[in-house]
Amino acid sequence: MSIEGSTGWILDAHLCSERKEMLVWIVPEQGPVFFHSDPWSPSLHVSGLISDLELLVDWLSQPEIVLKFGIINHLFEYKRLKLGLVDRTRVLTVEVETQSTLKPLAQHIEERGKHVRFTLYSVDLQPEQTYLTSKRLSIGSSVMIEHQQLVAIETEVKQRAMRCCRFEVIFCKNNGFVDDSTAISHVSIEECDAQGKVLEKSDTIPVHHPSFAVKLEQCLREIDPDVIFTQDGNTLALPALIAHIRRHEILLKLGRNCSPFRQIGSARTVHSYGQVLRSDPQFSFEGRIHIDFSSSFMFKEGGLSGLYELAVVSATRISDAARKSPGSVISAIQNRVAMEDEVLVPWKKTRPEDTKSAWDLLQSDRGGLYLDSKPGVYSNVFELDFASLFPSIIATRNISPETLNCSCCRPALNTTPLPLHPESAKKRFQLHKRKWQSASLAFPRQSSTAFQVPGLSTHTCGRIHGFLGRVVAPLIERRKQLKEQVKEKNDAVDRQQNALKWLLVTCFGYTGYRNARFGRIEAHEAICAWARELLLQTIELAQQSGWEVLHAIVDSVWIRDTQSRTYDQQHDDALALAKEVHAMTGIPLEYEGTYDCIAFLPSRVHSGGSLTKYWAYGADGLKVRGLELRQHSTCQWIRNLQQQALLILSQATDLVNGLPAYSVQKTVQALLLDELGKLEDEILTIADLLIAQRISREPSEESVQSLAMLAFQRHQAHGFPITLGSKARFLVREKDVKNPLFRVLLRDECSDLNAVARHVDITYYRQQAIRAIWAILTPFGWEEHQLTEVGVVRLDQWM
Amino acid sequence: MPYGCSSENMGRTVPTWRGRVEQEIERLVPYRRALSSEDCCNFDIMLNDVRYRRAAGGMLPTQEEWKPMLLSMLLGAHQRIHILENRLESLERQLIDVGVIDEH
Repeated sequence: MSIEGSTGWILDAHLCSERKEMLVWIVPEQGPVFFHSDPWSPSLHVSGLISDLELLVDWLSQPEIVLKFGIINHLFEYKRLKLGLVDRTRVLTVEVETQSTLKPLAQHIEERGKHVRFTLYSVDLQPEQTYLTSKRLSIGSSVMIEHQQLVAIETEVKQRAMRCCRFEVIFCKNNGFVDDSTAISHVSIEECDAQGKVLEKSDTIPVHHPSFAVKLEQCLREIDPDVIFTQDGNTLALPALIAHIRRHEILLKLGRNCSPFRQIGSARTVHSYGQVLRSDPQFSFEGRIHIDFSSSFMFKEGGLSGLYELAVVSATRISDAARKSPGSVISAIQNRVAMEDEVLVPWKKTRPEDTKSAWDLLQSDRGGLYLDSKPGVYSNVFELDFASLFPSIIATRNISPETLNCSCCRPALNTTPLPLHPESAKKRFQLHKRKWQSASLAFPRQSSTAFQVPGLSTHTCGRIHGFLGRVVAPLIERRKQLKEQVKEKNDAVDRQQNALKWLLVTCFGYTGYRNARFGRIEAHEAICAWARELLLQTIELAQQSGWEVLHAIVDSVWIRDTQSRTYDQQHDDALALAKEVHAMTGIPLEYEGTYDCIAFLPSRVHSGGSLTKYWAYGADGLKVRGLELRQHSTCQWIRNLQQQALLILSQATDLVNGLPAYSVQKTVQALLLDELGKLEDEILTIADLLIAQRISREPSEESVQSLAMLAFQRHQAHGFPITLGSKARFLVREKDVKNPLFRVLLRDECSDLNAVARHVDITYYRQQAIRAIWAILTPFGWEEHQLTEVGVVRLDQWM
Repeated sequence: MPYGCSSENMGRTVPTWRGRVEQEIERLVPYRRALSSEDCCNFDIMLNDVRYRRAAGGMLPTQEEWKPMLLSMLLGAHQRIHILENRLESLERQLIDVGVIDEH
C-alpha cells in the first residue's frame, strides 16, 4: 500500500479484480514496489438534441436500468465534440460502476435512439489510459502520494533497471502435439536480462509436487521480477497452467498482491482487411508486466526499451503496448492527445467521405510515386531516403481531418513549410493567432500557413495547428533525438527508436482507415499528393545535378553518376544534393548508403521491373528486399542458399566494371547444383526443409488442396486443430494418390528435427531452390533454364 | 471479408494505374495470339515500353488507359529511333574518317 509522501515512478496501472479501483504500481528509488489505489468509475458521454437527451435521462433513471448497467450517476456537462472546435456542447455524462457494463450500456443507448438520435463518446477507451491522462500522467512519470492522491512531481525519480524473468511451462508431450489441455509436467522460473537471455538457471518445479503453488510463489517472490517473459504464454503455456490449477483447485498468486492468478478475456479470431488474425486472452500478473515473446511484434522490433517508450507516449500499460500493433498504439496516442485537448473521443466514426465527382476521385485516389526500375545490375549506386516522409508531410503541411478545406483560409502562393520541431511549429501558429483574433471568419482570408495540396483542389487551414501534426511531430522529434544517442546497432536506444519508427510508418495509413476515429480519407489523399510532388522535385533536382535516377520508391531514390566524377566527389555531391532537397522541401533527405552493386529484379510474369524486389551490397553489408530470404514461409535451406549466393557475389574480387565477373556467377551456379545434389541424395534435415504458412480459412469441399489446406486437415486428423490465423509448419512430401494428407508432415509429428528428411517432394524443393538462385542471377542476364545446365559455354566467358 | 475491400485492392476506390494497365494488356491477349512470331516479339516490346513508363502514366489521371499507353509506346519507339540515329551518325563519321564517303 502507498504511504503518504512516498515517491517513485509508475510501472503499471490496471483495474483491480473487482474493477472498482485503479491500482497504480509505483517503483521507488529504493525499496520494494508498492501500489496506490484510487476509486475509479468509468463514464460515457452522449450527445444529441436536448429534448432527446432529457427523455434518455428519464429512461436511464428507471430502477431496472440503473441496476442492470450499474449506473451511479448522470449529469449534463459542456464538452468539445470535434477537433478544431472551440465551442463546447451540452452532453449527457453517464457514470457506471464497472468497465464491463460500459459497452452494453452504450449499445442500449444507441438502440434507444434508433441508431440516429445519439452519438456516443468515450465508450471503448482503455480505463488505465483515461485515468492516467486525466491526471496528466503516463507510464514512467515521477509521482508522489499527497493527501492520498497521486500527483506528478517535477524532480525526476531515478529509475532502476527492470528485473526480468522467464516463466516456462514444460509439457508432458503427447504424440508431439501440445494444446492447452495437454498435461503440464514442470514450471520453471529463471532470471533473465531485458532481451530474455537467461542469467541464472533455477530449478524447475514439478506441478504434482504437494506444495507446487507455495514453491512457485516463493520462487517468484525471491526474484520479484517487474517483467515476466513467456514463450507462447498467451496461446498455450498460461491457458494450460490455468486449466491445471482449475482441475486441481489450486489457488495461485503470481502477482505482487494477493489476487489469484486468472485469465482475462478469451481467444478470438479477428478479421482485418482480408487477413485472419488471432487475438489472445490476457493473464493477471498484477504488479508485474507480462510479455509473450511469440506474439509481441513490438517486442521483437523494439525490445523492452521500445515497449516502455510506446507506453510512455501513449499512456497505456507496457503489457498492452506489447500486445498492440503499431497502428493501435498510434490510435491510443491520438486518443491521449484528444483527451488532453478536452475533445471527446467518438465511439464510432461517423464522418463519411466527402462527395466527389468521378474526375476528382480519379485525381485524388492515387498513392505514392514509384519510378519503375530497369532490371539489371548496377555499380556505385547511392541511396537517399526521406526521413519519415509521410509523418513529416503531416507535420510540415499541417494535414489533419479538421484542417482540410476550411472555409476561413485561402492559401498563399509562396508558402514555406512548417518547421518539423513541434515547439517551433506551435510558435508559428501562436504568432498568427493575434492576426486571426481580429479577423472575420465569414470570408476566406489569405494565409501563409495555409497550403494548397499539389494537383488537387484541396487546401489546409492556416489558422488551426492540426491535430495529426501535433500527434506525429513529437514522435519525429523524439526519434531524431534517440537516433543521435544510438551507440551501436540494436542497443537499447536503437530499439527504442525502432519502436517509434513503426508508429511513424503506420500513422499515415490510419488517416485512410475507415474505422479510424480521427481518420479522414481526404487527409490520406493529400499526403499522397504531397509525397508524389516532393519525390518529383527530388528527381528533377538530382537530374539537374548530374545524376541518373535508376529507381525511386515513394520516399527513396537510387542515383548513379553521369558526369564521370571520382568516388569521393560523388559522395560529397550526393550529400550536397540531400542537403539541397532538405532546404527545398523542409523534410530531411538522408544519405542511406552506397552500394558497390545493386540488382533490380524483373517481374516473373513479364520482363518489366518488379515492384520492391532488389538486392544490394556495399560497405554496410547486404541489403535484400522482396526476395525469398525475407519471406516468413521460406525454409531454412533456401534461406541459407540465397544468403550464401549473395555472400559469394559480395566477396568476389574478380570484377568487370565493378560488378562480379561471369566466373563468379558460375560459382553461384555451382553452389545451386551442389545443393540440389544434397537434396537428391536425401541428406538434408527436417529442420532445413520445414516451411511455414499462415492458415487463414477453413477448407471447404470446393477448396483447392493447397499445402496449407492439407496441413490444416492433417492437424485436424490428429485431433489438434489449428486456430485460424496461426501458422502451420510442415515438410512437403511426395504425393500419395490414396491419401492426400501424406503430402505434408507436420513439425509436431517429428520427434527429432535434426533427423534426415525422407520421402520429401524433390521436384517441389528443387523448383524453390532454382527460383531462389534465379533471383540472384537473372539481373546478370541468366535465364531460368541456364541455371541447371552444366558445361554450356557463353561467349563472354572467353572475353 | 468486410464490404468494399479485397486483398488485391485494399482500401482503394479507384483501381491503381498499374492494375489498370495490366488489365488492359490482358485484354489484348487474343490479339497477340493471332500475331506472327515476329510481330508478337515486337508487340511484347511495345507493351514493355508501357510497363517501363507506368509511373509517368500514373501522373496523368485519365478515364481511359489508351492515351498514356500510346504515349509510352510512341516514346519507346522514339527512343529506339534516337539510338539508331546516333549509331548511324557515328558510323557515317567513321566512314568519312576512312574516306569511304564524302562529308556532303
